[in-house]
Amino acid sequence: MIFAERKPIEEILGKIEGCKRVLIAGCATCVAECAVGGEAETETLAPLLSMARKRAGSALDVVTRTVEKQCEWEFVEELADDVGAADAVISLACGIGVQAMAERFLDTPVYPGVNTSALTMREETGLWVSRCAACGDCVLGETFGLCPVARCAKSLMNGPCGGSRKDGKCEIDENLDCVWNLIVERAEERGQLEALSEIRAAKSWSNSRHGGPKRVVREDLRQ
Amino acid sequence: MARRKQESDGGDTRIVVFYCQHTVSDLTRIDPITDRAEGLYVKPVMLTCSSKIQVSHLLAILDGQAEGVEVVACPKRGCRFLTGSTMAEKRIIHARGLLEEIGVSGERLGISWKSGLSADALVHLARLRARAIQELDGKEGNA
Repeated sequence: MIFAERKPIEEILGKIEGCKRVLIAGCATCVAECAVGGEAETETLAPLLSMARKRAGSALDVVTRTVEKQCEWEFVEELADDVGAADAVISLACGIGVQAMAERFLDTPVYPGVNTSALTMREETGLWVSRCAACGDCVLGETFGLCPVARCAKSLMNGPCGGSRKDGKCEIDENLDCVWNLIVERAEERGQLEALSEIRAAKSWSNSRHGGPKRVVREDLRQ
Repeated sequence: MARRKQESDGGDTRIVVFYCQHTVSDLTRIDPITDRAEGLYVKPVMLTCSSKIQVSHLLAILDGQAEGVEVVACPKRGCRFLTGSTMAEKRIIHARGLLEEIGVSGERLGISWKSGLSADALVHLARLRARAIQELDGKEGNA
């Protein structure tokens, strides 16, 4: 899922200074799964902003709405009336949702309430870990299903590096598994360690973010 | 002397007490009370488990409905849902952190771990929370 983290409340308050009515717009998909931008989080942020503004002597009317997806026009449209009545919108969606809102509602400023930071999976309750970097040239078929781009601190294509610890952890974080150690272990378990000795073609980064903004056209789907 | 009353008079310190049904000796509903002498209004709310509280609920109450919230949970090893009392504590800690971020003291939220409480004992916990908040009010103003 797309993972995001809450922005400091002070930063959000700074953006809506002078506003009398704001809409906090939640998204019930990825950011709800990572407990930062769903309905519960909109309802948490609303009283905080209200209390902070009361203390500052300038009351704020806060409205909350959560839609299924802020990255789909059909769902964004559901917010039209509430956005129209607000001086500003705080979107708790990922960066995609914030931009969709800003593009649809040109007359109302839309501010992000979260920082979108990773593509993760929830490993345990309350624990999210990076699993994908959207690099555009997937190597999981060669690395036994473990991603060195997202899960190695250096995104190395060969490893482990000299910084891995004896216990199989990464030098940058004692709680972080060295993914290349895991790759080697999994290769050994499958009896395919020699596969890691094969010379692989250089990874293409041209389809990643370094290759510029993505615009994909699928003529088979277009109307 | 406390007297039973449904609503607060203006100026009272209002405390909402969320209590797990297993923390009290008697499941009879406990009505809200006003203690004029202490300037205290207490609204007890029974929960099936203290873990039913949500951070958003706690903050919404502090945003105008009450000056403080006391959560009364079962002793951690005595929770019928095993982790309910611990989860309630974690939510209180998280909510306190958010309050501190906007300059409101986390002391407005409290948690106690009790069992076999009488109605008076429950109100006493609210009274202790109210006293802590009344001390704060001079320092931080109204939340």
